Amino acid sequence: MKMAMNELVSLSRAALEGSGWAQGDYEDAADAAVWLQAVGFDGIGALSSLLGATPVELYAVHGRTGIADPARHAAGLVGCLAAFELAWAQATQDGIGIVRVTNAMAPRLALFGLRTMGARARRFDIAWNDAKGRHFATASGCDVFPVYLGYDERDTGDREGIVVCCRTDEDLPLPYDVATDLRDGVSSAELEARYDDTLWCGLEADETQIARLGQWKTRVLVEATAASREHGAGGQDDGF
Amino acid sequence: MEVDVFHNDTDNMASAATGDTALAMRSADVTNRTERLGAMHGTRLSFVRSLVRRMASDNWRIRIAQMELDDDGYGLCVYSIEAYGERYSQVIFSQYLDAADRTDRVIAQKWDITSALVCGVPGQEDIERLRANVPLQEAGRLHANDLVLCRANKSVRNFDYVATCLAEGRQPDPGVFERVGYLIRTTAVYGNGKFGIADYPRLIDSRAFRSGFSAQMCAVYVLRDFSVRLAEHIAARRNPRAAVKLARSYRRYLGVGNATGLGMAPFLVRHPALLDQWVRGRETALARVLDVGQADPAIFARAGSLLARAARHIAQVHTDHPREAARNAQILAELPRVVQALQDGAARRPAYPWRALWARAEAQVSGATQEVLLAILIELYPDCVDSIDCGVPVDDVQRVDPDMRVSELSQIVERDYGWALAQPAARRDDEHFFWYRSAEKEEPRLGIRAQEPGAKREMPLDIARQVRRLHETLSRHSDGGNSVAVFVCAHPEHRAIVRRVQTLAGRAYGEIRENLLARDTLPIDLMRAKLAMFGASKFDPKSNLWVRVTLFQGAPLIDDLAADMKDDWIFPCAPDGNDKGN
Repeated sequence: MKMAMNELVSLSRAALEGSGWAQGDYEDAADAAVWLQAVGFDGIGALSSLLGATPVELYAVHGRTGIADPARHAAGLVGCLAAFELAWAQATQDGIGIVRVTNAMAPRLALFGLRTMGARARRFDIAWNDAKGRHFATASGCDVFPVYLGYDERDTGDREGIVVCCRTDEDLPLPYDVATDLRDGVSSAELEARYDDTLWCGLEADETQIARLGQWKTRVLVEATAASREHGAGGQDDGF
Repeated sequence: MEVDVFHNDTDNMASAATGDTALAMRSADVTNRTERLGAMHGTRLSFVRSLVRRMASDNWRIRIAQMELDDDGYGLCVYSIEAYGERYSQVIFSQYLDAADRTDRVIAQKWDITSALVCGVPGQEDIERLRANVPLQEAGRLHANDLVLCRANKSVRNFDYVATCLAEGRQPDPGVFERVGYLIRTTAVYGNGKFGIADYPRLIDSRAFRSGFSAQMCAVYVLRDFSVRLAEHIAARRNPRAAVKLARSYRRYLGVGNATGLGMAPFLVRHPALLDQWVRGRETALARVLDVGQADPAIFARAGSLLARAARHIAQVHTDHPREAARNAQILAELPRVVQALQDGAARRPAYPWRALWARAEAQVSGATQEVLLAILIELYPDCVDSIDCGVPVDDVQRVDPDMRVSELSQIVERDYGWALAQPAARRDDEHFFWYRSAEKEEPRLGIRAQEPGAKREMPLDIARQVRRLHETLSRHSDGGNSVAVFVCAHPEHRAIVRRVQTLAGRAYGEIRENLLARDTLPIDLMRAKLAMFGASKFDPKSNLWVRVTLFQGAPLIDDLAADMKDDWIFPCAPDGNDKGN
């Protein structure tokens, strides 16, 4: 079915709120999912693992020395935007900030984190794993849209993991290797074109997924009572 | 895109950074209190005013392209709207509505009139698609080519009365219009992605509708024209030989009514950057006028004339809401003092005359009367203020500044949110209300926490409470040298309020500076602020939870739109009874 992006953002936020996520997290995740959906990365599908789930992600931060802090249990959702903010803050001090997220609940959402933080004039690189393989993307800090470099289907070792790297000193090396023969890469221009196309034509969404979000959304709605009907909102028509 | 001309300094008094050199602006501690927001009036910066000016100066062409109404006025009407080489259409469906189905609330299922503003010229297939969906409103599905979805109900008494008068070949009594200055009232005007219609960012490329809410306002303006044509059509079909058209002065006085409920309040809280832009625009305009060095007698005379008109307008507001009625009475009692101060100024002709007048107003009259004076002062200097575009697209995304130290965040909270921190945390009625979405069509509602179920599902409009909780956590946080990135990761429950505080650090007018859960909260104050920015008049609260207003009252008609159109319709007043029509 066709939907507007803002409509789907509202629905996704309410669904995530209904499944217990805090405001900051449900706003991040919903915005991420809809953006991903708009550029062809099944964002709504990525939300499925967050609905009804409690935070289980672990994260570790390190800088130039490469010595990571001990992994910490995240109280919220790290693998969407927070990992990028942590990497940014570390890079400010150290020239490079690397955040490793394990048990990532919806690794694909990191591509939205890259889009959000990568437009703020800093170089970001990310890699994430899922059942398909290992994915790579990068943002120069100059372009509004990142580049999805593609995925390596042979590399499935670190399932549900994300690595976010922010560098103010680009001479410093990436903490991972990027294969040269990645599949299905998407340029920055193509992502932008897909987004614009969605803006003009609407967003394609699966009705089953939307119905599921709708079910979770009901958890934020309050059943009407006689009192709420009578005193909770506006009055009746008075003939004028 | 964003216009961020001013930023607040440490004492919360906004001042100019670029464009306007060192203009002193009122503090948000004055402007953003609910009592002051709830006393706002439309100004020439309001969206309906700026839209009509653009329509006139930029040669918009609005005309009826198709009209297929039966003897009772039921059927289809399509307006064509052309501007800047762009073409849009407004498709209107008029249908029978049983009196039992007529309600202004969101929970309504049927309406007298439903409409969509769409891109381009709809073909028959498009019309049929719209016919199958637009009358259903929230239960229908629209396309990305559709820009606005709206509906309206007839003012039964007014509409039937006017149609009957016209059918009998006479003009209605204008006294009727003084009480209710419209034939129809809208109950919802949807934009920005609702039910599948175009997302607002799509309109950024549209010269006609890139300005915030301009597409919605245009739709209402077209409905205003349709409402009169519909009454005239029915009159003509009833009595083809004797029916007359509505007199021009009456047509011009009639606007479109609007019933607004709680939904507008969450909008203002969720879009603080927009609120900042709107209030900042007004305050910038006021500051520019107060900075005018000299004024000639003609401008004093104009101010006097507008004050008289404002008094007449307010005297014609009929409301049963005790506070509103008392406030209007107070304004009427105080306006003579403003007139006296104006006359003193005209006699003495001091330098910076409006500063002197404003200072006297601040000392001698209530905030409500000051807001009337503000609207008039802005009206005096079009060349000075019309460049301020409150509708320019604004970036209202809130972002975490990861590098900020926790100690700095603490300082910002204490600097910008003193109004929230100063509230006694344990005052019994501080959390009296909770805002929620009802399962009935998701209608926004307000509940009493101690008496009604649902508080666990309340909407996050509790900015004051969130700030207090953040402040408590920050004060317990031992390492102020930590980055905010680390802090929000450890405290995801504060993530939303932290990025809000950071984002609004340069936007002093972004927060409504009250606890919206407190027992003394009046939601109508928030609605009025937004409606005033739209340009509404005749504020008539029907309770503390909803308000009836009129849009485009006194506005130029479609055939008035021309480069030399007179843009002078603030504080519209009912016409006298001398207009007999053509």
